[in-house]
Amino acid sequence: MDFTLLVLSSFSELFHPTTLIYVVTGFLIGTVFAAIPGLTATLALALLLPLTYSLDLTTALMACASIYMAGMCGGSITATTINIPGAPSSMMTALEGYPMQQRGQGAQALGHASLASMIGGGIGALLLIMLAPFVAEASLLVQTAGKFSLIAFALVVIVIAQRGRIVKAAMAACLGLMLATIGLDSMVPMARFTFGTEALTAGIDLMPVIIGTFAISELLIQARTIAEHKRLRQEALQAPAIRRRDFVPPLSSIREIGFWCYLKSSLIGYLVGTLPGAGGSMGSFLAYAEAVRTSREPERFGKGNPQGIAAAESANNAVCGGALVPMLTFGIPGDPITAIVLGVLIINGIQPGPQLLADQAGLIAPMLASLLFSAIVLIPLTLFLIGPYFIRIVSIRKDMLYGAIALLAVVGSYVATYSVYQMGLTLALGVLAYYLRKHDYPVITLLLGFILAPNLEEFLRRSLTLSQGDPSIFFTSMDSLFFIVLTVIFVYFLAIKRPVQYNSDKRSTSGIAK
Amino acid sequence: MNQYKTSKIPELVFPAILFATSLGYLTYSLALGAPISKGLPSPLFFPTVLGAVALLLSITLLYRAIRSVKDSSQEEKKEETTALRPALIVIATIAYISIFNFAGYFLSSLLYIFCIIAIFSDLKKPFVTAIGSIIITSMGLLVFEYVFRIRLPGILE
Repeated sequence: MDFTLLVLSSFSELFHPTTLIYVVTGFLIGTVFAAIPGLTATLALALLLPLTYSLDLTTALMACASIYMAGMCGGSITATTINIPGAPSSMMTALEGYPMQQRGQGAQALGHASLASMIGGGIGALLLIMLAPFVAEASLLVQTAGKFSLIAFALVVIVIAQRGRIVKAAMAACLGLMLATIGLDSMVPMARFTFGTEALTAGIDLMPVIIGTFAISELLIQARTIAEHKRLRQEALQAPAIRRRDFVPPLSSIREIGFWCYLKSSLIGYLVGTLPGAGGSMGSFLAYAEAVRTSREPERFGKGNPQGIAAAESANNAVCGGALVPMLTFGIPGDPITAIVLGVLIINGIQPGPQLLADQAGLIAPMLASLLFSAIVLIPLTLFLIGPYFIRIVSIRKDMLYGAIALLAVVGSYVATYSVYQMGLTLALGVLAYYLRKHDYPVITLLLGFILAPNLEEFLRRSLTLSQGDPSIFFTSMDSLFFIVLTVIFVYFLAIKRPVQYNSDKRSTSGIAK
Repeated sequence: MNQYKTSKIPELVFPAILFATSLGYLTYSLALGAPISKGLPSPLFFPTVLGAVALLLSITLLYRAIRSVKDSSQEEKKEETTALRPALIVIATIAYISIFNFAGYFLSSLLYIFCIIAIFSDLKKPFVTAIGSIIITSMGLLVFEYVFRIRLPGILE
């Protein structure tokens, strides 16, 4: 209750003019990046990461929260108008939104998407605010061996969530873990994998990894496929104009969807968000599949059904609240954006973990207030004010845009330590990430492996030291055993058991053998 | 070996590099010292275990890649891509980093952005590209120097 009151009182800080400007600007930037296919809110956050050095940390976190919420909502713009999801989490929105666009109801589809995002984002943020303190208290009960098993569980889930490329995901995670072992050991003053280089003694910073992985690699990937950009630009310019009054969905349509659909989808999204590596796309898919399964008219899905949009968008915005739970309470990021938010904390000397909410409640509460504000106020406001111009975002000249991105990325990596060495490291890691992506290796596992490696190693060695080298400690400690069992359960259901896939032709869920 | 299999050989390169990296990592880790010292894990315990896991994974990936080359019976449809542009971007970035401190932010960034835009636009409109470069460099200066108070090299020096 104290924490909830603290969040409510943080709204006064939020409404400070300078802070509000950063939050609103962050929201707009997140929307633009999410709307343009090929760019993501993750990229926006990665580019802005270096700039958080010169911002007040509270303001930086509030801006990150608004970018996060915008990123989940912004992908529905091009998903609806030109059938190209701006973000992976908007794939199901494209399935229903584009048919609505084709019969002249595009604005209404966007209105439904925004309403659902508002509700889902609001519910996710409220759940986070109410539950995070309890989860943080529970996390204090986890001991050393349990902490190792928890982080190992998170890594395993992140890897097996990459269906169809689990071995590649595991390899990418190993690469991230390897990169993190470069430098001085944290427990014993021994240099590892420095090859006698002084520059590597301090290890590799998080900043070049994030910027290289998301910004530089994206630049290189986009440079490979230029023809696609021209087609998208032409389609965007040919999309019909949208009027503001058309955005408001009819009350009858909202009643037909029903409050229970919004609530259930939001809960699904929130719970999925708490799983490391799951993300908005899994949340929106599961909520959509559930909406189809429980619908009295499942044959209407896939033909422009607002209920499909409502389910998908409620879920993917509720994911924001869920994904912040493991990050704030255990220091385990649930997706790339929370990994970057974690980076903001680490760069500013704040160590995430069970003590974070207890020791730094005054820092975290405004961020959650910003998340709630972005969901309930900024989403509908942005739609109403600049909605008619949304589609024009896609027609921005890509060559100019990527020029700006390149500048922000490379110079951004310089500002952290005023060192060209960091710029070179960023480029090298960007090239690595490019080749990984080119060969269909998920770079998110590389990043999360890099972030989780220090704690994973520390808790492993501490546990074995406590048990005098006896590995059975991981099975005799109840908390550790709990997470090991959880790992086995998840491996069984996500990797071994037949996955459920949605068949858009038959509009039903079916098991498909892998 | 027919032309289809020959065209798939480059796909072996990346898994082979990963295998070499994993093997090198594990070997170097063992060369640095013993993973266990006096019955307790040393600073090299985690890297050794990690190296072994990575080696197993890389062997699996390499095996799959080799099988893929042997089993390929028809040429797969290739998406329209180019490797030249990414290579040019990397070269331009290396050059930019090299002259960044020497030439200062404005001049080096102007040249760099011009190169990036030219690469993405195939230099179809050089005048527009030049104007765009100036605008983007100036806006970057504004954002870094005046909004976020970050000192950049070569400004007013």
